[in-house]
Amino acid sequence: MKVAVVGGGPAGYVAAIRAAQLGAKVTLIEEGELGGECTNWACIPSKTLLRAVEVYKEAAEYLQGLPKIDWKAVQGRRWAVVKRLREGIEKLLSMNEVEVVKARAQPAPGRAVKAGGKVIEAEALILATGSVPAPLPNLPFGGKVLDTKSALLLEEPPNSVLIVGGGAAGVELATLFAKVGSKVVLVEVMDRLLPALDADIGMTVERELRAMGVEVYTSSTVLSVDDRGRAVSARLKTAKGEIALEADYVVAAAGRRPNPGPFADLVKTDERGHVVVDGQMRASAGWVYAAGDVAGPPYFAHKAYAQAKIAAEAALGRKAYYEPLAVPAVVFSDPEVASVGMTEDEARRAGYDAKSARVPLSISGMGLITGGAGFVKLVYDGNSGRILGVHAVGRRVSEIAGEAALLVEFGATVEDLALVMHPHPTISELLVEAAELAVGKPTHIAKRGP
Amino acid sequence: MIEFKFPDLGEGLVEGEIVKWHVKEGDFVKEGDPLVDVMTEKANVTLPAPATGKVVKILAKEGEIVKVGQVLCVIEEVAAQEAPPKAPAAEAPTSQKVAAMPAARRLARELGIDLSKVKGTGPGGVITVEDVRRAAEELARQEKAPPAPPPAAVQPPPAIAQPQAPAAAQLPQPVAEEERIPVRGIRRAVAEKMAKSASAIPHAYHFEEVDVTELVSLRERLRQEAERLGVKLTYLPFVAKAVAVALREFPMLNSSFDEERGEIVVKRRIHLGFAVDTEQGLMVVVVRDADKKSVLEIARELNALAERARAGKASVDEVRGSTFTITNIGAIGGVGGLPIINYPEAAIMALGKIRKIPRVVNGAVVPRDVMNVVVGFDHRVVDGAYVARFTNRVKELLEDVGKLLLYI
Repeated sequence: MKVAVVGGGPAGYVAAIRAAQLGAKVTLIEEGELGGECTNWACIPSKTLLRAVEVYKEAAEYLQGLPKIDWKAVQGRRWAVVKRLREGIEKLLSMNEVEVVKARAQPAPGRAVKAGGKVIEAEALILATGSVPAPLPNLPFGGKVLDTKSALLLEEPPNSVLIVGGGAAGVELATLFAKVGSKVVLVEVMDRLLPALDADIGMTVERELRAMGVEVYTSSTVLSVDDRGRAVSARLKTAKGEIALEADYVVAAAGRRPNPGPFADLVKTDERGHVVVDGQMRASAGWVYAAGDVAGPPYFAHKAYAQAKIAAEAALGRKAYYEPLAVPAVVFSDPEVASVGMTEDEARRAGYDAKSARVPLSISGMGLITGGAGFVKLVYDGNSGRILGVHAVGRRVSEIAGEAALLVEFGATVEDLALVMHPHPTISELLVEAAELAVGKPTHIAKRGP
Repeated sequence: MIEFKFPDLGEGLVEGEIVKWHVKEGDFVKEGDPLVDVMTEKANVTLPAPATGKVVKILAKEGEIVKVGQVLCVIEEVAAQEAPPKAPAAEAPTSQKVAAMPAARRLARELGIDLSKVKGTGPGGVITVEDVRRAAEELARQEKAPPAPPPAAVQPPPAIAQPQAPAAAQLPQPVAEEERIPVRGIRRAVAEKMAKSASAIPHAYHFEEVDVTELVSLRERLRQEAERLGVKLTYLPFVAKAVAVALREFPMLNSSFDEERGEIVVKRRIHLGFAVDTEQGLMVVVVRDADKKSVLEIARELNALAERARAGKASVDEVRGSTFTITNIGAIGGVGGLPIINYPEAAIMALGKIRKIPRVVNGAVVPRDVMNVVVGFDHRVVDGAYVARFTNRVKELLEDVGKLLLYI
């Protein structure tokens, strides 16, 4: 069985490895770098930079007179991490005997793909062509208007920056630049930051960003931007009227769009351009599969991994289906965000007796040690006690998202969780505390009232 | 409240099959959002939501056959701004209410077990891998067991009936020796049409051998010219042209037999159907008024139609209304075959692969390019002699291919 994979990002390389593990002869075609957007330009670089400024900012509390941050060193570490990961992917592909063709791919007549002057015949094609930044209508990229990738490539942190888009990417960039002293203005069109997540999360993150000195404008839009070469002046329409401001740069972080490229002709796509797939990630042309961003939102690397494995297995005739109960979402703001499974509202709409139990970080040892605000909230079914979702904000909560996914996927109940010993002092203890609250016996929260 | 009815998609279409709902009850939809996929005849159609609002009730299940005018779902209209954005969790599967371990869910898929019918023995009733295995064994056992006696039958005394059950239960039951695949979508459309054609039409067949040596060299010469115009030129458009020309002279083969009225309906227009092998199954794409089109036009249209059919993008109009069908068996391999008529047409032509084989020409054995054609016909409509003359005409036009020039 011959399988062609187009795209070498999280969806592409994982699909290639899984198909090879199942005995297929795999060709992977990538026009840029292996590892794709995530490894080279998005998740990994941004998290490396965020980690560096986290250390820098925290050190400030214990230093007298803060030295200037060495941005070259910070970027140097970023490239080292990226390079190591990319080489790892190259090695893995070669060890799995995946042929890698570095070229732009396009469909060829019959069941084949053309790349680098040769025609690659395949019985199955897996599209993993990802997504690209989508410019805002009145904010085309170029000059001082950057996409998130370019913002992470700046040689020096900007003195001031206007970030448009209060989703995960915008919030993370605001956190990054605020911590190294940039004047940051963050604009979001919806009425809160991180509008796709639990409302309490967005509100907490907004409060903490403001405390860090970020100017946040929700329910606001950019009316116009004037690139004057050395700086940009912008006019915003906010809830309190129009305001004008100046910044070194504008970062448009308000979204991405799928990138099916020439393969859009081969398969059905939705109105936004995503390849339409069935539960097995199969596209309308039955020999074509899609995984990752190009197959639809959310645009997460871990979702791409999961879909890629399903696509490869289905392409090789396995009865694999993509049907997760929990797609975890994490945001590396300060405090961090973890959101897994249903929100209370979603659970109610799905017909559950939706209940929630929420505990603040400040009741736990590690919560106080790491500092900052936050909470852990369990969403569960009042009838069965089944845990349906976990929504948390606070330093290090990204690390409990995995456990949260396990709880939801395994159908654990709040009773189960309350009975499982968790190590002290860790943030994960708050899951137990929330479960105890759900069953009515919280240890570290006193009952109020008589 | 809006009752969303299965719309009349034209050309006397009366029914369709619900393939997939894009929404669940309780979901909000925007006007124009994909609502439901319906398979009609042989095309998949996505019906858009007629209005913005909440899907209150879904009245047709996936797999159900629905008639034109039948209510598919009920939508409670709201003003566009009230509709909340679709929550990310809306992508979660509907099986969410069944608690099952991830590995159990995967196994259930592999064994074709419906999790909602499995009793979970894990903590809190969660379904485990063992539960799924047990359910699969139970299912295998039930399928092997003899069917229950009809209620009217005399029940055997319990003393005799009882030992049978434990005996059967003790036998080690291999899991899933066979697999049951629901016949859906295109497979079902093909199955129904073939059964109908085979049972309703008395098929008879006529065989002929066509020497296409001249056509092979002509096509070779024209190929580059066509490529310059962006068209991949195969032999099929030439055959199609020859068939279309011959059908004008033999109109009885461009007809259908109306059993109810006892009439033969002769079609004035010649719409050629072409069998296309797609991932989902056989589809017939239609080149309309093929007799009025050039070989190049037929080639261009056919290529585009086949591509759209393979991509699952063919529209209803592109796959219905043919009056005579050609199936190119040789494209995959094989020197001939006995095709089933594309009901309710009167005839079908199957083409074998073109082979270079020795033939006697002017008393000498020489290598020639030869293609077999098989014409299947409705013997109620015409007799063998008529079909033989029709086939001779097609043969003549293909062997002396210059004659086709007169009709272009």
